[in-house]
Amino acid sequence: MRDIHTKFLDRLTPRKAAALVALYGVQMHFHRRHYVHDAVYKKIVYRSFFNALVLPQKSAWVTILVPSEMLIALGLTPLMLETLGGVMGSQGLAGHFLKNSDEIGVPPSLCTFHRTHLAAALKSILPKPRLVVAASALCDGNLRSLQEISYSLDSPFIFIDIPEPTSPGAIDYVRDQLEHHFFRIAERLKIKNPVERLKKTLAVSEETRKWMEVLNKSREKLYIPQKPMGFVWNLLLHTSQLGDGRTLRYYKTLCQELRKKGMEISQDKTRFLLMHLLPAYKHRALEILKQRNGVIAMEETSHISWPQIDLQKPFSSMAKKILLQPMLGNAERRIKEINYLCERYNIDGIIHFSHWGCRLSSGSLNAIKRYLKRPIIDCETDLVDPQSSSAGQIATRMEGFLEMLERNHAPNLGFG
Amino acid sequence: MSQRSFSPNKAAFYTCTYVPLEIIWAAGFIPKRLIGQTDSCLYTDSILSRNVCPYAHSVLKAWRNVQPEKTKYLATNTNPVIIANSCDAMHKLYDILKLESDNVYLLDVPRENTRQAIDFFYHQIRALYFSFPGVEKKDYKSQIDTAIEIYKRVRRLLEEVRTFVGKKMTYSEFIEIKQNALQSIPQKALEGLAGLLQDLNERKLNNASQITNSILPVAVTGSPMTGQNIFSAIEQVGFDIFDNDSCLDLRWSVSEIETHNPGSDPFFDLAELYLNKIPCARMASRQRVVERLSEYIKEGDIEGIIHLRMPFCDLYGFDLVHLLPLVEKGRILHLDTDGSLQSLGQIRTRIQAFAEIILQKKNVNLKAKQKIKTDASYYCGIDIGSSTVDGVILSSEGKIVARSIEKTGSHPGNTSLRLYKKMIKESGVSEKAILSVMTTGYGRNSFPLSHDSVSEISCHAYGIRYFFPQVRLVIDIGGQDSKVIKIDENGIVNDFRMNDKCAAGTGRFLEVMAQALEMNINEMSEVDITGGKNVPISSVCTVFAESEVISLLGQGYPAPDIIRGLYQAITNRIEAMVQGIGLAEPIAITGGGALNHALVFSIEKRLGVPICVPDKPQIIGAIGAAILTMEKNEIR
Repeated sequence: MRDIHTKFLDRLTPRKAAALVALYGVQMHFHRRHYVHDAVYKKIVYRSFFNALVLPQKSAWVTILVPSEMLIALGLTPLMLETLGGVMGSQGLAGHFLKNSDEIGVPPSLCTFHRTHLAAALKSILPKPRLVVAASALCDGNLRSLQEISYSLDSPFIFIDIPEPTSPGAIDYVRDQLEHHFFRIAERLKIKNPVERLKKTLAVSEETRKWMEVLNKSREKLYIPQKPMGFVWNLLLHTSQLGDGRTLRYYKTLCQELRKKGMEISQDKTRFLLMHLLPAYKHRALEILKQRNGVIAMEETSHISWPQIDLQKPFSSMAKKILLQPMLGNAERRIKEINYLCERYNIDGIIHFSHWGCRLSSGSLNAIKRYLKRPIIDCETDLVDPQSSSAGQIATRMEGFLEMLERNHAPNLGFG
Repeated sequence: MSQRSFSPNKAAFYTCTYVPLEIIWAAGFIPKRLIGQTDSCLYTDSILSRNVCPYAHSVLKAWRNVQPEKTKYLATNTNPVIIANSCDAMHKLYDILKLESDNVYLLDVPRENTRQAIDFFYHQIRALYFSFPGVEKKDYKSQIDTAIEIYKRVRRLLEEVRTFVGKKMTYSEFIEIKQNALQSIPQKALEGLAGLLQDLNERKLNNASQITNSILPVAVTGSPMTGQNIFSAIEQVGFDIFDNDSCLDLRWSVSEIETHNPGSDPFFDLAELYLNKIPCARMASRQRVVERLSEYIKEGDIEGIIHLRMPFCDLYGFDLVHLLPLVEKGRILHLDTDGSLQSLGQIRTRIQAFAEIILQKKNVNLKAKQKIKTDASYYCGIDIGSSTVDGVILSSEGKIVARSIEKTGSHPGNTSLRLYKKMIKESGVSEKAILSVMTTGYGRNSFPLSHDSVSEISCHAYGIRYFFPQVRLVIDIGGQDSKVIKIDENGIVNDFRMNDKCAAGTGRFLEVMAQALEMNINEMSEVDITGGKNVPISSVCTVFAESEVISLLGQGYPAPDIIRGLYQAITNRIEAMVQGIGLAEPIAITGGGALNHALVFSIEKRLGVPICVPDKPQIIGAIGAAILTMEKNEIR
């Protein structure tokens, strides 16, 4: 079985991958989903892959924090490459590409998200995109991995350098870069009235932000039962698909459906805040949470921290939006934000997964734990590779943490 | 930074070569770089995550060592610390220090050198300068101009000293001089360097071979390794460090500083100069540096590239991704190391093997040695490994006349001598008839009668040809390490991979697991593992795998299923190494691990290729050493 799997993946070409994705699309079309918003979500993710495979000239490969409004305005569909790593992980395909990544010299201590997508991209299972765009913040791997991909596929490369949000001149620096790159791409793609188009997508993005706020408001005291994972993977939408009408539709229908179908009141549930990300594959932590009546009430990544978009200053607004993203900036800012979320969302405890190779979230976690106002549990695991994560250890830690909270004498100290 | 009293003799610490020294000196502080010593690195993971590179841990440790009060968890330091936002690790280090101390400053360095980036960096440098306590706005230009002038002279003198490397000083010595000069008061550094230059000019040109063999120029690149041992190890095998593209050497220099025009805005000039120096791996223009290294090889300036890769230092890891397709196989050695002393033995083996590969390609003899003429001639090879010492005596016709294996024990020198005497006695060969003895393995320098030594990599490549001349890939599962070696039709090593210092995938791993299962290694290899369920062992670390095995036994899994899981874990490691250099057929397996048929079968099944196993797989290294010494003698 393993051999067939390996042989299949070894021989995967863009054409075969496109046929597979098309088949999946047909199946998805006939598959009735209970909720409209769920179907919309699947379609958005599907479309970014479909365009990357079938219409590569309309696809731009990006990293997190590349402003999607800018690309959508120019008729491109962003595919966040981290999504590719996540999808591979959730489908159990990551192991194959992780092994391939050693062969091409990718460091084994790099996070498995990047190793998977880098190996998949360099092995050319996707056709050459129109554009590769990287933004530097949140992860060291962004710039160099996308630069290598663009070099190897001979695709044009654009880099947006994101400084520390509090540095003097940071907004101007990002704004100037965005403006410069936007007009350069528009010229290359021969797009007329690019600024008007940008304003339109920014208006959609702003409208989406408002609906996201409505959703977050409703999550303050309540728990939405049909999403056991919380909304952690909504990150894909609000980091790489904002400005697209479908993303607006997703949040709008989600809020409307919640109103129609009612929400479960979660007074009897233990409410958790999720810091950073969950592993992309099935794991026991969520099962244990469910058994013990615990729920993920809010995620750090779902927090809307950027202000209203000023359509008269599109580039400044986009720069501010980037620089105010959650998790960006120093530890002081993060501590403030987590403590704010704990208060606002009525949180009982914090769950954090330290993923292999990821410094963004876990690098200074041990130091910041002492400043958080809720007890926190940290589980060491891997984002996409279940083989590198010890299920037994995670289960013991989670159970111990939940028991501690149940007895309600949790000291305000990080452990685990 | 908080306002403190101005003290002209006080040090300000900094972490990165993108921090302009001129700014610190002009503000009245002595710039001192917080250089962690990776060779004495202890993880400080109670504060900084293990996902952060050992270098950042060592910098944190260095900072704690300079603190006036050590009683507190992280005491507030009175000296300013400037941390450049050079990578995620350094940003996290800043986070930690900032939570504990007011006197920490983050210098935001852009990743490009465009006009916008230079403008941005200008603002950062300016803000840094005025954040120093006691700095006044009115006279800053002349202060900075003076600092620029004095550092320009220091760097010029350092460049002059560099020209003596390989002639009158070793590269390791030069690096020490550079570190000292750039961390002292610049006037004192100027005096010291001028005196040194005079001394160097007057010193007679020593016999070059006393300083370094200087036959193989190489470039060193990659993660910062601050321990001197790595550079010494590189020089000791005869490499001449032509170019060290690291932040301890070339990137610590800003030679273009001469373009500064007094009268123009010094902040702007410094921003431009620093962003235009040789870019480090975080910069968008890094690919050019990597391409330049590959051009050096093509132009014949260097024979190879040594790429140092530290765990979790991913930025330099990407250099390798870019470099591998550009450089011919066998011309690049990448060393995965955290720079700790524990892995130095393994590092030396790899560097020596790399030198041997290059020399074989150049067809140069290793060492000149007098030939003793006798009628009957024999050659001896001894492989002194971590677990066993294996010896072979070969006749000049290539026939094995004696072979022996003994446990290494705690005195490898004594054991090897005993084994040597035993082989002589058993074979009846006169000791004088043995023309040459070559040693290999970790203890290769401990045998007192050795004429020469060579790395195990070359020995396994040569040794396997004795039994299977057609083999192109050798898998060696030894006690302390495992290796995969790719060889060409002449037995010359094309490429190789070794496990890192972790014991997973080695004979030691199996020994520890056998103990956990309460059996000895031979009993374990005889256990029938066919049938039953798959029990995956997820941990790759020997220590954790041992507790995982105990836990699985506790859960009631039968021993054969667990043993199969262990073989699978080793197979995974071997497969990853094979994929790293590319599969080549036929394959042979050597070392003590080859005696375990079930393990060999597991590897065979995974790779999908039949594997040849020699009669006595442990002695292949010793045979290789004997053949190598015989060939060398016969060439002469």
